Amino acid sequence: MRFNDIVAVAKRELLVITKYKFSFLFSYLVSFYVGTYLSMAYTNLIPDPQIRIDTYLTFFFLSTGIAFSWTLSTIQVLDYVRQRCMETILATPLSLPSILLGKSLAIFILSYIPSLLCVIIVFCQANWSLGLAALVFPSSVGWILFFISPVLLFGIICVNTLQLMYLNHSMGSLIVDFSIYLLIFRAGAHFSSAISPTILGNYILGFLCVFLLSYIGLMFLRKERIVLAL
Amino acid sequence: MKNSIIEVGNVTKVLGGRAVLSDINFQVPKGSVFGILGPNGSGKTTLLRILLGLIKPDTGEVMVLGQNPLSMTRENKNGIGFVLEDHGLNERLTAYQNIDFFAQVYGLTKEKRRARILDLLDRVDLSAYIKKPVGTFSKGMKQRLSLARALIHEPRLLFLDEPTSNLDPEGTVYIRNLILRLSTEEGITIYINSHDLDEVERICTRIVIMKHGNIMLQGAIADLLRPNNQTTIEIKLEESEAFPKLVNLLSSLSYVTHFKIEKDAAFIELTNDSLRVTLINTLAQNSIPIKEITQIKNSLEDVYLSIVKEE
Repeated sequence: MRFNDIVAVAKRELLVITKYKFSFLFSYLVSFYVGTYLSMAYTNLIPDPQIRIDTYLTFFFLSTGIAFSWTLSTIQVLDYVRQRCMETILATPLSLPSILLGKSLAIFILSYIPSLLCVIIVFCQANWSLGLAALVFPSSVGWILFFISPVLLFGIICVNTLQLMYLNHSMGSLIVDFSIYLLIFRAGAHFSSAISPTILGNYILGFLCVFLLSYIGLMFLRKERIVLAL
Repeated sequence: MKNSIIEVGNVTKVLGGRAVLSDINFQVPKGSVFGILGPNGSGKTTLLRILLGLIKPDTGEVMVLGQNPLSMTRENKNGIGFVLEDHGLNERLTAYQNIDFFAQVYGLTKEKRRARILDLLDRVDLSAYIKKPVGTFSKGMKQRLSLARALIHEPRLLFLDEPTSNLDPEGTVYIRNLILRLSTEEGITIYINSHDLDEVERICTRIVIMKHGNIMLQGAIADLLRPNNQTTIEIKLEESEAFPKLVNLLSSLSYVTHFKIEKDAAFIELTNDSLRVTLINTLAQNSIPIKEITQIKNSLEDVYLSIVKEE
């Protein structure tokens, strides 16, 4: 596995996804709207602005990222079904981990940037009524989770991409994807009043799940399996 | 075989409970244009996938460029180019973007990539379409672009799966000439999967004919079309009264293996192609009034159909 291979695959995926201009913009706007709206609607119920911001960072920030990655994965699915390029790519010297990481990296970049924009919007909204003099920033634990979220998001995208590769890039993989999401984060939704050990535990569980799944998935994934499923 | 670039020994593969390949053995000599012929379902594509390291054979051994394709070093993988039936181009990307990705994968530097892509697009007459999305290309243009893509890293061995299928006659001739140039001018060994008998007969030096996962026939095209260098000629006479004399004469010649008289012509099989002149001289010396002499050529189509139609 070479770094240059991962970059080459990521660059190609970025190019391909953004070529679907209408689907890309549409899914982007919908995800952005849904992510921001849900975050604000849910966190508005929390009176304490500190807890509101922390709650966003612990749960909705990641949820928004995942929502983006789903919609972008759908575009990837469409592309692989239509273009039938996978066999040619597999026959090059690219290794399966390089292909997986490259594809995941592209989705990650396109998902993480709008998630950050959502953070800024929620931050502004939470501080709106307080005025500049009383700006509320995330707590230290909130910051920690904010900075480790990208790693977790990347892991989730890796698992998703692996499913796409295993399941012949079919839409069915998104259903599996949704199940994993529920498994890892369902508990987090019930603990939105403050950052608790349970939430931290969910993060650790999430880390273990996605990286273990990615590792096991890669161990058993063979080019033959993908080619014969095409 | 020392001079072989591909060696396939006793390869079998079962997929979905069906033997797709059964005990396949052949070698591809370095520098040759090698054709695999066979009807749909004969195992050509599975064999190609095995040679590209995409599928593992159940038994047997495969060596491409002296290594097993499944555990091949990157250096050797970089010596292989290929065009599969689905040409592998993304129709939303431009011609340049499509090739540039593969150039990066094969480790070409940015400067070298640009120069090489421009050169190759020029060679396949696509320089004017460098920034056009591949989706706007005709089938022939896509096929030419696929070939340019396959050649980006200057491979020593090129695998082509149905390189002229669905092309118009002009596109077919263009691709055919390009393949011949690659073989003769650049010394690239070319392995072709094809249905097109005319194409194979024109450009391949050696062939394998497959059916139901088995090799039915293999060898140099010239040998297959004229087994043991035998040749058949058709002779028409000025006067039909001369046929009995001709029959008597042919019966006495040791190098005539078989002959038959049909209507106004005699069909004569000779042990060796070089004996044609000897026969003509003998007929002239015996005052046989020859009107017309034609050499009967066995076409690849005859050979292929005789094998494929056999049950």
